[in-house]
Amino acid sequence: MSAVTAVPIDDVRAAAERISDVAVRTPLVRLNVDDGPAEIYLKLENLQPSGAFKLRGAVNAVRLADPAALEQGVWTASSGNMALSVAWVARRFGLACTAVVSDNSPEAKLSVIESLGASIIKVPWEEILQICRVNGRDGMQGLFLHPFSDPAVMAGNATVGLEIVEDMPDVDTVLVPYGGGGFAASVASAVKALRPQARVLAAEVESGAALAGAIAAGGPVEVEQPPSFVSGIGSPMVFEHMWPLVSELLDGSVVSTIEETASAVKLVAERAHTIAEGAGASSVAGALSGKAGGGKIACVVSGGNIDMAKLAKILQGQVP
Amino acid sequence: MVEHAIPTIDEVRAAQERIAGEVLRTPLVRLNVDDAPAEVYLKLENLQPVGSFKLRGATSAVRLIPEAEMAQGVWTVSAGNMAQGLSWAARRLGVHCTAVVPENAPEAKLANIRRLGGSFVKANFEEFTAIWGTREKDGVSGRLVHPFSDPAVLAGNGTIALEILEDLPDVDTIVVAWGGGGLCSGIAAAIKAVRPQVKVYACEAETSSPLAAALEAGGPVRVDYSLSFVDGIGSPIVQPEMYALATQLIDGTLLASLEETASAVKIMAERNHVIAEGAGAVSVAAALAGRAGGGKVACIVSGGNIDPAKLVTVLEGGVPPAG
Repeated sequence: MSAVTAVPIDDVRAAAERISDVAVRTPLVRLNVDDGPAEIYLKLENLQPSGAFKLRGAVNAVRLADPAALEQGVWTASSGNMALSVAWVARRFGLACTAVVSDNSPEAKLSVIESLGASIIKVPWEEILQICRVNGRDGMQGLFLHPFSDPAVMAGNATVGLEIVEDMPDVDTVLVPYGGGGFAASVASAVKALRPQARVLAAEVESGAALAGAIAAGGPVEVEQPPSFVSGIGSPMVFEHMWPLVSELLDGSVVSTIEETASAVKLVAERAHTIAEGAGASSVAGALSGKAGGGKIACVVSGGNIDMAKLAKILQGQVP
Repeated sequence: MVEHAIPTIDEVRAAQERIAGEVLRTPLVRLNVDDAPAEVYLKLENLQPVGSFKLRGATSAVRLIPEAEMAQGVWTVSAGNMAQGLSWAARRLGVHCTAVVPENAPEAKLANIRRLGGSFVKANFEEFTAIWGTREKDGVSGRLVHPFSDPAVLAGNGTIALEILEDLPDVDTIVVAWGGGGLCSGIAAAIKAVRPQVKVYACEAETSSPLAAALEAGGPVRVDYSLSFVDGIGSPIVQPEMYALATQLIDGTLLASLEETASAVKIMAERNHVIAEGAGAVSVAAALAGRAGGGKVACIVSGGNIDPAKLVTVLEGGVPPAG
């Protein structure tokens, strides 16, 4: 694939209009911790109908698509949240949907995807990565919605950054969970256009901190990816076609441990009364660690799709 | 003399200005349940900084106290959420807050009062509810912000209705937990002034339903009640001034069982990723049971302060114990 470029701010504004009747304009709420290293705010994308920000990009892409291209429906490839969001959007617009998902996706996500009427194809995680690299898969029908590097998806997802700056014009730092890199780059595109002095940091977990590895090495390198309960982010290597953009737009990566991430899920539940999945809490864990500095930090809580059994463990102080 | 005037729409709008920028304008989100008997929407007051709607009334009331009186501090009598709301609002203005709390108040709520710089005095449940009427407690001084019948508190609560109408102008029904009655009455007062065809139902837990009994008997009567995990609402008797408001403003009462309420807490966690306390879930439980009818039903998720251990029980499919 050719290198991905930043999202023009006009495209972000147009996307905001386009998705406004479907996506929730989520609140930015203060996290009530008096002894935190910064004023921490949560952008609650877990409140989207599909439980994740990905709905924004999917709605924007479907609304921008040529109707003829949608006749055979839509499909995507993801570990869960993009598939769930595309399935939700497809049902909303009456489109057929196929979700190619990794065979280790959480059951909670798969059962919701099925209940939304989508067909599921399970493949190994390596094949998901390959689909993302080559932008397609043999034998599939309908419009492919690339989970992170489709320009229309990116413009829709970038509206998260637009809303953060609208709600908190003096934001110092934005922390965004880093999965494929498209979301972090999208949010950074909008934030940097509106408030160039704000820093945008990637939030990663130690189980697959591909961006931190790439930054240290000066380019994409393989990193270790031990299994963890954090299923929404983490990859073995930064995608080559994302590296030029993310290395330009992002001001660094804050890596949290699995324990810190579980602890952030618990804190968000207890203090903010809302449920973040591991990936969604990685930004909060990063801010709480102090590694993102002080001032006003907006943490994107990217999603809330966590198995209830895992959540119950976390609430009891364990790491699932 | 007890005030029981219905707040006017102008008073609610004035309260909205007083609290703007201090409290969160909470989102109204669709409950992600396809086979529900209605289009159910959740007004997420659990996302407020102190985890409940009480911040609205507390801020509305504290901002009206004359400067000269502020030094003496403020106090309230509350199961915890108003105590937190008032502690939070008082601290913003540099005033001390004392809360008279019932002896069964959950530790999570007491810890939050301490964290917000407030202090608390425990009372047994009978004395606690009696203070709602007597408005006195030995050893506690300063300005009382009554948790539900203070007019400024009612007006602050009414701002929730204005926001619902902005977000869902064609709402058919609003379901509100009935504790002291201030939330329900404030919302009903505002909604009936602007859009009288919207139905407003008060909702109680089966284990403690003094309003249903009062409406049946034609006046406040004492009811049997048992403590439960739904600890933010429930009392032995409706206060007379609140009964008067209810008869003028609301369209009826709904009941939810403890099992239905626990199930509603679980469904909101699973489907919408929000954490409601028991009192915050009775409205949703009643709507899911079909008792609020069809159409567009907005349920107030009044708070989210539930002990994590109780939440775990709910997530595992159980009904948590009281206390």
